[in-house]
Amino acid sequence: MLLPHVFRTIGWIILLIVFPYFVFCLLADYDSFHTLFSRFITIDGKTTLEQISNNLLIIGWSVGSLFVTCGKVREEDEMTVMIRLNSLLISLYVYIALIVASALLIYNFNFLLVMMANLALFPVIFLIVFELRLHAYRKISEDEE
Amino acid sequence: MKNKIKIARAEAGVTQQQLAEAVGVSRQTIISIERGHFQPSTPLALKMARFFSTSVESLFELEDTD
Repeated sequence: MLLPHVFRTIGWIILLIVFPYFVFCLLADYDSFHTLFSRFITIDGKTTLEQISNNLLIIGWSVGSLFVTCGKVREEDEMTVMIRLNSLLISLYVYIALIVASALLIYNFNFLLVMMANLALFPVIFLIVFELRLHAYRKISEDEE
Repeated sequence: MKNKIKIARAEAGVTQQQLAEAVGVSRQTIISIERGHFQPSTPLALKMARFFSTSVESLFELEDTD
């Protein structure tokens, strides 16, 4: 069920493109951001541009993280499969914990914003947990031969 | 589950890398198995036993806690 290794590379490329864009969207004042892009893209109105921007972020973020986590690693074997499954389980725990915490602590419109962020949160948590565990696996000390 | 992979490897004069290549896993996985951090699947245990020309029971042993 895993994707070929090349998908990991494609996934990282997508994430490397999407992440700066995501940061830019967070930091930029929307109106100036909209004006900036309107110079290059002629689209009828702000809403359409916002939709394209949102779609780029959500789809790019989700697909990129999916490709990275579900693409075979170079040294794929049964232990990396176990690492992937454990990471999936840990991510689920973290994800549910975040939902519970946000339900208890955040209300009204802010809660809606958190739920929107949740749309693409799970693959991101999975990506972080999996890469950290994979890094630890690769760093297994140089044992005696 | 305890295992005697390290002993078997030393007796056969085989490196972790050679064993890893012979059974089709990475060297890190062999290290993890030897340290008891990872329990190999039945096919992998059988491959190891075949590589050392021995039985699975002589390489792997159940503990009381298993």
